[in-house]
Amino acid sequence: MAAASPLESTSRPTTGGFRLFARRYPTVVAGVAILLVMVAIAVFAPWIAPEDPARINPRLRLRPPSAAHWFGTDHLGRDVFSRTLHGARVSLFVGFTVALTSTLIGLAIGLVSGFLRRIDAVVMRIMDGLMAIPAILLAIAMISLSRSSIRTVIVAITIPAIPPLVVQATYVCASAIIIEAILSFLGAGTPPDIPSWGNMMAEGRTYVLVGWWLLVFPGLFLSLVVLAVNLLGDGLRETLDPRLRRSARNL
Amino acid sequence: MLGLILRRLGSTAIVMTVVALFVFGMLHLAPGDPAAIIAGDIATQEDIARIRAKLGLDRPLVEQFVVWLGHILTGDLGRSIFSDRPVAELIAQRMEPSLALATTTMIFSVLVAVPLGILAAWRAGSWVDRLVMSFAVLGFSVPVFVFAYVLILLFAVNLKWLPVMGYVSFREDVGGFLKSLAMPTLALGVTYVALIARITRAAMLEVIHQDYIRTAHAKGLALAPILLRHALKPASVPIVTTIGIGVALLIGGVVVTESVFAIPGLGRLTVDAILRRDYPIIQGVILIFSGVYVLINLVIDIVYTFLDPRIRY
Repeated sequence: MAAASPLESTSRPTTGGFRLFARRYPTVVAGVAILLVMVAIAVFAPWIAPEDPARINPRLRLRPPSAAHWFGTDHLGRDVFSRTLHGARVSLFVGFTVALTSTLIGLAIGLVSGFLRRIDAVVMRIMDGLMAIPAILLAIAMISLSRSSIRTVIVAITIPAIPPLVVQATYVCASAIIIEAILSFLGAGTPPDIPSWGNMMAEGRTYVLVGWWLLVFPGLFLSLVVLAVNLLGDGLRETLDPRLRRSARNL
Repeated sequence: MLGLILRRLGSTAIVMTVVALFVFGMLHLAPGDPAAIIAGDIATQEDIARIRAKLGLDRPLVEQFVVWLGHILTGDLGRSIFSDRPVAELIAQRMEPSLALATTTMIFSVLVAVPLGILAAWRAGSWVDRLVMSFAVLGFSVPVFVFAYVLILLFAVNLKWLPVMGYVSFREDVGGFLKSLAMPTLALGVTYVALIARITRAAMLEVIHQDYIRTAHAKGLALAPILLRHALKPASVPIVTTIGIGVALLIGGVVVTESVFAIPGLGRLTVDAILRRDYPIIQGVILIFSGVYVLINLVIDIVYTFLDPRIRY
């Protein structure tokens, strides 16, 4: 959680410091760069996207990528590029929100059960039980009980993320992004009127034989975001954990 | 030894009780009337009343739980709301493909990942190591279904080597069985390979720098016996732990992979059940999957004591 400050202290504001840092930890820099671009895409999607992601154009159904439609069009003639850009919003929002809330809740539970021994035993048994249920199944079950909305999805992903208590926030963020995509892909996640990479691929799967672009572009963006978060996480662990740093020098 | 097994069995029973409480409670903790939730959006008042009476939802909560738990312990998981068939029977019918996929994936992943991890640790810092570790990060980042479609587009649509989807039982045709599971296994295995390769490398690195390994080198022992017998055996405890914990990942992955490749297993049963809000099936599948997961980890805990005689609970 104290992620930002040591990073800043190793990379001094001078360009020389940054260059040294970039040379020593190229993956962290790459991860941060990809993430920054994705955050920018998510924030400015309505202004960058060439078209309204919901605009249907029946005459332009399933067109391959072209100069007018960089990522092609889908089965309703919607612009896949615009939809992919908008898809960044759901993924990043879910990832950050789940990482933040599960960390805070985990911290609170850890503190309370650390001080109150009697509660500790009960809480830990509950956590053990929660951990025994595979996260995706737990999320699916919770979503099936209520209407699917972004909020339900976030709650359903956050609860299984709490029990491990001490897990790096970046790891929670990465797996939350993956689980949201999986849920949406299975039809139990983000409602279809909001474009997300998962539900775009769910709609595109019917056309796997004729429209590769419907699956490849959202899949690529999704993988890139998760990769960026993981690179950042691995790099942070390496820079923050002195034990890892020493063993890396020994090799 | 017996004491250990009994103690672990006890804590397993506690965990499963919590899981059962949770699965039962979920329906009642959700906002709204459970009968209305099960009945769905377009149900009439009579439908809701019928479901409430059928599932005994009009009884006190404690009574409901005791009755429900008693049924489960005798193997009765209730009936599907959609088809009215016993959930246990539906699950048994769908077991084979899921079990087959999970098994092939497990075997494939361990066979690929452990040697990769050993190689990376032995040549730590070299380009081989960096390649393996880059692959591990990548494998952890590409979601199962995305990688599955990459494989489908490549091997089924472009090269036409493998069937796009479907499942052939090994009882009908072993060749067709292997062919139908090749892509699903590869897709599902990637995350698992990444996970196991990473932990194998880390565990081997920890052992490789110890004095007795240097002694083994010094007395002129060949590399293979040092790595495989002297280093891998003590390193195997964290590796086996990770394989066990990874089963949760594998189970989630099975659900998704089956959906992509149209394999008629438990995953498909689950997804269909969600879309129809067939709650007894969802409950049954969660109980079965969690039970399998907990049991596997119980077995692993016991296996530890054989791998590492220092472990005594």
